[in-house]
Amino acid sequence: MELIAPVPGAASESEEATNNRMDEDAFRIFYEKTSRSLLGYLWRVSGDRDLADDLLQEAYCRLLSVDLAATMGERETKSYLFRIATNLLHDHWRRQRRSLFTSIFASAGSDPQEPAIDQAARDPAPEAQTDLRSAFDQLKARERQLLWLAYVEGSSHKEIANSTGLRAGSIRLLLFRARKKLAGLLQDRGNRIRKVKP
Amino acid sequence: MNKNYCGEEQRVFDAVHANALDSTLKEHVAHCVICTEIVLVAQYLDEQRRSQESEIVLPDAGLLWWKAQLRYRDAALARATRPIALVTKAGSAAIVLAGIWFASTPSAAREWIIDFVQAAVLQHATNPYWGMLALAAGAGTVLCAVIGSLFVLRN
Repeated sequence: MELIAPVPGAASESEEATNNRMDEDAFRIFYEKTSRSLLGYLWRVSGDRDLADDLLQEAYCRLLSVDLAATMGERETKSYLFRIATNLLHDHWRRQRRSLFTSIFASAGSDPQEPAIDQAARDPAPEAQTDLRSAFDQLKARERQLLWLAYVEGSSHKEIANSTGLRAGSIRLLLFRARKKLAGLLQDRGNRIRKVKP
Repeated sequence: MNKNYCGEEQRVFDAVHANALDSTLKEHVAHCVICTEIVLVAQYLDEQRRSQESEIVLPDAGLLWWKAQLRYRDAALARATRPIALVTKAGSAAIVLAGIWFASTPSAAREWIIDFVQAAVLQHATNPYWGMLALAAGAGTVLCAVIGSLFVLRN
């Protein structure tokens, strides 16, 4: 499908050649196809529904403001959109870390490298934690990104690399480790449930 | 089989997604640690996706389009008015510097102005009206520039 179209009312051919922004119809179709999965990704990786909503809107606005290469297909554009969203998410976490450092309420023990999902759920007693938080939320942000893109979006390693900014060559190993960790957590949880309900 | 890779990985993953794990693959999964993990993780994440699916409410595409257009126009306007802003800033800086010079050395500044005016008048001594006209035009230009700068700054 042709995604890219020149801006309506572009003055000249030379301008059209460099001005490859989506037109409204193309955008509506693209939005219909990608918005659900992007919101799901942002929501699940950030663990915050409102934040995911904000970042989704910002990501599409930014996508619409850039001149995309005329040769870019739907999958590449989607990958680019996920890259924008991932960068926005990282910017958000960076800002959060900065405010965490400057805040007088910052606790000395919190790990600024790991954005926490559902911080309130980290505090209860360990036995209650597994019930409150899903195994997925216990993973690192990068691991959540990788697993969601690979297993829910069905992205290839190259697409994951494009979306996350990681090197394509390292995706296999990182994915392997993340999968192993999640599988371990799931098996652990399964064992605990079995112990509680013999 | 590599330690962290199984040749059947992709087939197992595709089969789990299509909900079509046949007996051959099931048997492979039962003996392969990697594929067991894949099945476990893929099924779990699919369950997670389905559980949040019903809660997803998307903003209207038209609203986002309008928002993006507005932002694009704002950016274009900012780009277009950048030279005006630059000239305004340069003019303001020049006025401030002139003001500082005038305030720090009032006698020198006064002398310079008198010399300038005399030179302008003497240069056109043959016809004093030209000198006066040039002075009036200069004063008018400065006045227009000040009013214009104030207008631009206000807007």
